[in-house]
This record gives sequence, structure tokens and C-alpha cells, in this order.
Amino acid sequence: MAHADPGGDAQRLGVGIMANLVIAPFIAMDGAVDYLAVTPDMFWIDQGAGEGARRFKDIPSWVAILEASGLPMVSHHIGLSIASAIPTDPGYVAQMAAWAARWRAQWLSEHLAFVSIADGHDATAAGLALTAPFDRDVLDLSVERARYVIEHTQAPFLLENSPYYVTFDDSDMREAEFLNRFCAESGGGLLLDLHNLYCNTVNHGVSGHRFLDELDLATVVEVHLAGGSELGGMYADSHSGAPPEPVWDLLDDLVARAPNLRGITFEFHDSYLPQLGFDGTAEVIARARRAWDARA
Amino acid sequence: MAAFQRAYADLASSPKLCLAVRDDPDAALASYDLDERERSRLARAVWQRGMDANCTLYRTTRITALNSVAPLTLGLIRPILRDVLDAYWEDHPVHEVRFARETARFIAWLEEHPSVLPEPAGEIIALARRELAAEEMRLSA
Repeated sequence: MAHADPGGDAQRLGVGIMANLVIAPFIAMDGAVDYLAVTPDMFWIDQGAGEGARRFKDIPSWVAILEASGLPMVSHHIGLSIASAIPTDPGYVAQMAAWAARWRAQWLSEHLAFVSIADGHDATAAGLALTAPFDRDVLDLSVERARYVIEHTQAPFLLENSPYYVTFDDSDMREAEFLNRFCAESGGGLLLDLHNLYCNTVNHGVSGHRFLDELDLATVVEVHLAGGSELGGMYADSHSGAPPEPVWDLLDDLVARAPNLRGITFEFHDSYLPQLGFDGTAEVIARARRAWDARA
Repeated sequence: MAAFQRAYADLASSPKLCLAVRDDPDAALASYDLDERERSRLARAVWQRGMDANCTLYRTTRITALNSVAPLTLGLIRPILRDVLDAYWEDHPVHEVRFARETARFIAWLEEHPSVLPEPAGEIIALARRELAAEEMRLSA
């Protein structure tokens, strides 16, 4: 399969980090990272659609992190709910566009999941991100919503593969085929979270490298790296520290075959900083940079 | 698809509903407008270890909202926290993603059900209100 580069005119950024509450002292060090990945939903309060133009309100202490950083930025959303069987929220997409323009986001991304569910004629929160079956109707819904986002933001849009704990073995297609078709039909690209993929290899016996073989790797624009932990007999994407060795193996395999890769992002939850430390964070960034430098 | 997603999310939020579906899937899922494929998928899903993980993640998410705003209050009632939250979630099964609003709803619920708290219940609720006020002040700063 050959596709146009879904990253468009976006820069090749290098190695970045996901912003969290404790990251400011780290990114203030010269050359610590090449860019900042931001979950905009953490930087604003959504007061609900009924608030009209006053719906989204900055959280000043968080926004100050961006104002001080001066780093290139990418937007990583959690509120679009791309796979939800509810109407697209035009106010949310308008906010995605406004945020991307304000901070000159190189691209935007969202998870392949639903976090909102229908509640009569309205929508309500599911309470967690759930992965839908890899069905044709879910693909059509996701493609339509991605096209809407691309049209209204005029920015590259990436879909992130999710970790899933429940499987639906009778899905219409395999996950890799779903993601390939999504990119081909929407014009979007992939944010390939290698730790999410690793979770699925541990929990469901998927082969990570075979999964990469099945993916059209020209669609991969960004990679996520993270660590995880045990959760009730399963392995969870808890962002609890440095990536485990198999995730680094997947990264080495991927970078040599992903010609449109523009960024590798390390994400950890701020509550794990005491265990990881800024030294540990720097070690992860340095190792990711070695992989970045070795790319094709 | 909307009914399937609703049912799937309800299962992830309720170990009790998962057990009911294990016991009698037709009866437990009867209130959802599911086709046979969807019904069959959910009837199988409740036997997966992954559904237990979803239930745990759901509870973690909801506790995080309250613990972010009112950690002192939750710490104070830690010995009975599980029972209190089970009762609260039973009455309010839908998650409120805005932490401050979720906490305000929880406090209002405590005021309606002070008997779930040890004495002095009124002072515990007052502590929660002070923590919420501090959060609201922080957000509006």
C-alpha cells in the first residue's frame, strides 16, 4: 500500500515528552527534549455545551507551562471520543482547532476508543476509555469523524492504537487492517503507541513485530513510549516509568521502516516521578534519541 | 451500536451487572436494544479477565476524581470508603468528568445520607466542603 504522507508539512521534531504537572523543571533544562506533547483537555475546563462561547476556560497554572516552554507542540486529545455512536460535538472540534492554532500544533491526535455514550438524545461519560470491536460500522464512524476534524482544523490528524482488555474475536477485521483502512479512507495517520501494543501482546498473545508487519508503516507519524504495571492479572498501560525492553525492541524495528515518522514521545504519569526521577527520564529520552538517529 | 456501547460501559462500571449477565444474560441485558451479535458478544465478554480489569479501571478513574479534590476527606473515611463509594455509585452510576462537579455531587449525596459516615458526620462533610472550596479557588485563580 502506498499513501500520501499523512504528516503533511509538519516538522520532523525528534524526541519529546508528554506534559504533566511535574514536567516544567525538566523541560526547562536546555536541550532536554525537542518538543512537548500536550493533552489540551488537561489545560482547560470544559463547562459544558450550554455555556456557549464561555464553554472552555483555561487553567492558568497549566497554561503557564506552555507559555514558558517555547518548545514545538503537538496536541494529544482525550475528549473527541472518535468511536462513539453519538453525533460529533462541533464545539469540541472548534476548540481543538482554536487550541492548535493558538499553540501552532504540528499535528493533532486522539485514541481509538469511546469515552462518551448515548444517553437519550444527549451524551454522557462512559467513565473510562473502551475499545470498540474492529467492525466496519465503527470504522465508518471513525473515518467520518476524522475527516470532520481534518476539515475544521486544517492540521494533520493521527489515530492512536489503544490497549484493550476485553477482546471481540468475531470482529469484522483485525486491528492492523482496521488502522490501515482508517488511514486510507480518512487521510489521517497513525500515532503508534508501542506500549499499548506491548500491553496487547502480553494480555492477548499478539505478536508485536508481526503486528508491525501487517501495518502500513508509512502512515506512522508519531510513536508513544511508556511503562506499565500489573492490574488484576493483566498488564496495564499505567505510564508508571521507563519502557520495558520489548518496547525498545519494537521501536528499533519500527524506526527503520517508518519513513514519515516525525516524533517519539515518552509519557509517564506525574505520580511516578519519585520512582523514575528526572535522571531516569533523561535516560529514556537519550535512548529514544539513539533510536531516532538510527532511523532510515 | 449505541445500545451496545451503553451496555458495555454499564458492564465496565458494575461488577454486579457483570455477575448478573453471567448468571442470566437474556434477563440481565433485556433492557438494552441489542441485536443477537451484540448480545452474544457481551455475554461472552463478562467471562473474560479483561472485564474485571475494565471494572477496576473504572473504579480507579472515579476515585481519582474525588481524591484529587478531597484527599483529606477520603483519607479520613478510608476504613469505610469502599462501602460509601459503592452506595454513592449505585445512586450515581454516570461518571462526571469534571472533578470539582463530581466532588460537589458526592458532597451533596453525603449530606443526603449522613448515616453512611461515622460521627461527627457533619464535620467530615464540612471538611469535604472546605477542600472543594480550595479547589474552586485554585481553578478560578
